[in-house]
Amino acid sequence: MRALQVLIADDFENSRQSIRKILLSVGIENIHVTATGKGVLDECKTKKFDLILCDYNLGHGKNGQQVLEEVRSLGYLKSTALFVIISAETSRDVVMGIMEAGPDEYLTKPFTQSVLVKRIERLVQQNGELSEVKKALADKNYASVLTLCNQLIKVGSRYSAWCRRKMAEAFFETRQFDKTKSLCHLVQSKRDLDWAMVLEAQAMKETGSMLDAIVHLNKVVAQFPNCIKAFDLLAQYLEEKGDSEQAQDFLESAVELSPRVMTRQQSLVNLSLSNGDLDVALRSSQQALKLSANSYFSSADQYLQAAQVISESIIGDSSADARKKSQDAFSMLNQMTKKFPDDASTQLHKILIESQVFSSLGKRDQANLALKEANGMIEDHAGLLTPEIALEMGKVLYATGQHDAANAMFDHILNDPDVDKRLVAKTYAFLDEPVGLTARLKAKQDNLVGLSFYENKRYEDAIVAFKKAQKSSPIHPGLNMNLVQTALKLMETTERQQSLIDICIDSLDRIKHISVQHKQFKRYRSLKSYVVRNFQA
Amino acid sequence: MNNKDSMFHNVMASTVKDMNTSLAMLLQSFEANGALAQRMSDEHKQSFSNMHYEVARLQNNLFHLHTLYRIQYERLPIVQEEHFVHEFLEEQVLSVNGLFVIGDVKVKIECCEDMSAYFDFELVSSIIITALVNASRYTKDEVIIRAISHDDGILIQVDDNSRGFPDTILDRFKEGIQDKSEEFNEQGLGWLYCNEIAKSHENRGRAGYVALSNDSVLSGSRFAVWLP
Repeated sequence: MRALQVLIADDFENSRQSIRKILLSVGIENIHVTATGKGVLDECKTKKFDLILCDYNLGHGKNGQQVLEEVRSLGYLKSTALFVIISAETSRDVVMGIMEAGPDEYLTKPFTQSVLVKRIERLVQQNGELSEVKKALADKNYASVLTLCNQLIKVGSRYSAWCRRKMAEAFFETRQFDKTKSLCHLVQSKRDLDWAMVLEAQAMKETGSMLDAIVHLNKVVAQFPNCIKAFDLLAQYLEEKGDSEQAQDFLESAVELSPRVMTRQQSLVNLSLSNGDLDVALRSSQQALKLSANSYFSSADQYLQAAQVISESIIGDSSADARKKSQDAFSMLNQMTKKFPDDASTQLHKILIESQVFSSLGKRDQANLALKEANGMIEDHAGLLTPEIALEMGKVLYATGQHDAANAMFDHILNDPDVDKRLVAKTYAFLDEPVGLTARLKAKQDNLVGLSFYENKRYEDAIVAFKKAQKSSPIHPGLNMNLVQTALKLMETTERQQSLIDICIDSLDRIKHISVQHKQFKRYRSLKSYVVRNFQA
Repeated sequence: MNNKDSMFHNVMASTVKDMNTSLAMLLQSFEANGALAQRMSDEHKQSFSNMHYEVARLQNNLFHLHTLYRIQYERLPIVQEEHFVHEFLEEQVLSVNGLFVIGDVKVKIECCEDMSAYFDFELVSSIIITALVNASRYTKDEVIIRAISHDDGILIQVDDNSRGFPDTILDRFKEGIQDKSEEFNEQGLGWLYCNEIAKSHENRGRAGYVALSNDSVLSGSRFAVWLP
């Protein structure tokens, strides 16, 4: 233990010195100290530490969680290095964030001298016994992980439970799903374990039982409400299955549980956009941008995402609030250019978003100018026109009133068999509701009113409510089909009325953008053929 | 949450953190000055020990309060993870060791080195600290902490050679856990808190519990907690 190379990171001089004294008192002498996250990175770049004691609060820059994420990603740590995060914070957000970063140990302040020493002694002892396994894990040498863990279990190591978990994970990594399942089953003979249940679900999914996996994961979250991995997997599996709205519910729960993980916030932005849920997208894109401030994973994406969601949320909105938001979007994009100046595709994306914001502000000339610039860039480098950019381009064209050109862009995405499913959903989400957030929320509210009238068989009132909603969001599929259905219902009870037939025909005409990949295609097709058969013959 | 609420929660959280830090510094001073206290006159030593005990109690009560707050407002879930019991107990004793040293109390941990159990480290720590601080106050000169496998779970007993729990405490505790007591009673609330925390530990339909008795092997009082 005396030979350990140790780094202490804390923004308070007093804390650094008191920990240093404790270490000196047990004969540890190779001690470096630093006050900042940047300091940890610099130190770890040049020296290989055995033990890093890092406080969560490190002043204004990176916090302990971000530092750990970064040194791991950069490969600055040796496989047996021990990274301990120390924190006086006990709030759930912080603790969950730290746990997800996966430190070797997490120590809450305050602690006494003897407790710190004991913890270090144990970590070192454990490391001694498990160092070979840890090396094999770092090398992703799963065969060796299996052999080494097996040996440790045979000699009755006190870390046998840990070894079994690593073995089950190694079986999974090497696609030995039956062995994964049977080991998970074995370790749960006396109690349910969250990690083992999650692994079982993953193995079920890999062996083709997606539904079983989802049922199993639902059990996990009911029993272990803290098991963030189960929420993430549920969201992932449900989206794969095509149930992106339920997927969003679980991802929202995961974000609520652990809001300080930027990548998850970004996933939620993407998922909510493909569900047409601008409200959630707005919130999570702002969070992601905030979290990116000191994060190693920071990129132009968070700025683009946040500005893009804003631009979409203020379409057709001339309120003071919308104008303020548009200023936010411009300043985000300018900050982005300062931070990430050189990338052509980022620049193009930026110009396209700016054009949309100009359109919303009623500044047609500037919007057109931006569009022209974007077109120029694409003419010079055709490769810049990715499907993602095509979507933005379509929105710009739509906003500047060039609807045919816009639709051509959208068709380009919808007809491309190789395009990502999420992008297809995002495209439809725009096509369904090319209006701003305020209008969407109003439409949603009126739609709900209409639905409750419908349920109470007050069909005439329902029609009034749906028509009101239609004013806010003219071509929304669900809403227009609700209107059609209500008109049909009313004609079942009263006689045929030309005004109701007109409503049906008009509403269906508004949503003719629905094509075969659209989530509501089946409902649309059956309503359409009913109306054609009965009223348009 | 409205502004007033969020103000309350922010002040609550930062005040608790702040108080906790102050108390921790006080406790560290008591621990650090333990050797000095050994050389004091008996009278001074006694008052030093009293102060130390009261501060330890304050900190523990503050933790209880904070836990209850978090269960209510942050929906704090129990995290039952595997821990080595001997290491856990050793750490609890170390964190209040000053109280035993100054009172010349011998503390023994009887537990198999490799025994492990599933529980929430922080929460069960607060249970054991409650028992240890109490034992340090009332025991004559000996405390034994024993952990054994029992009934598919783990049983931790803290025995001392005090004069035992008074009947009033035992009765109140019994009434309290059966929810029978008619009136709100301040005394013994700490034990009921411990029982609630133990109860929130569950495995396959069985929940933990706390028991108070005078069955100590040292013929004093016994605090026992069983976790599934």
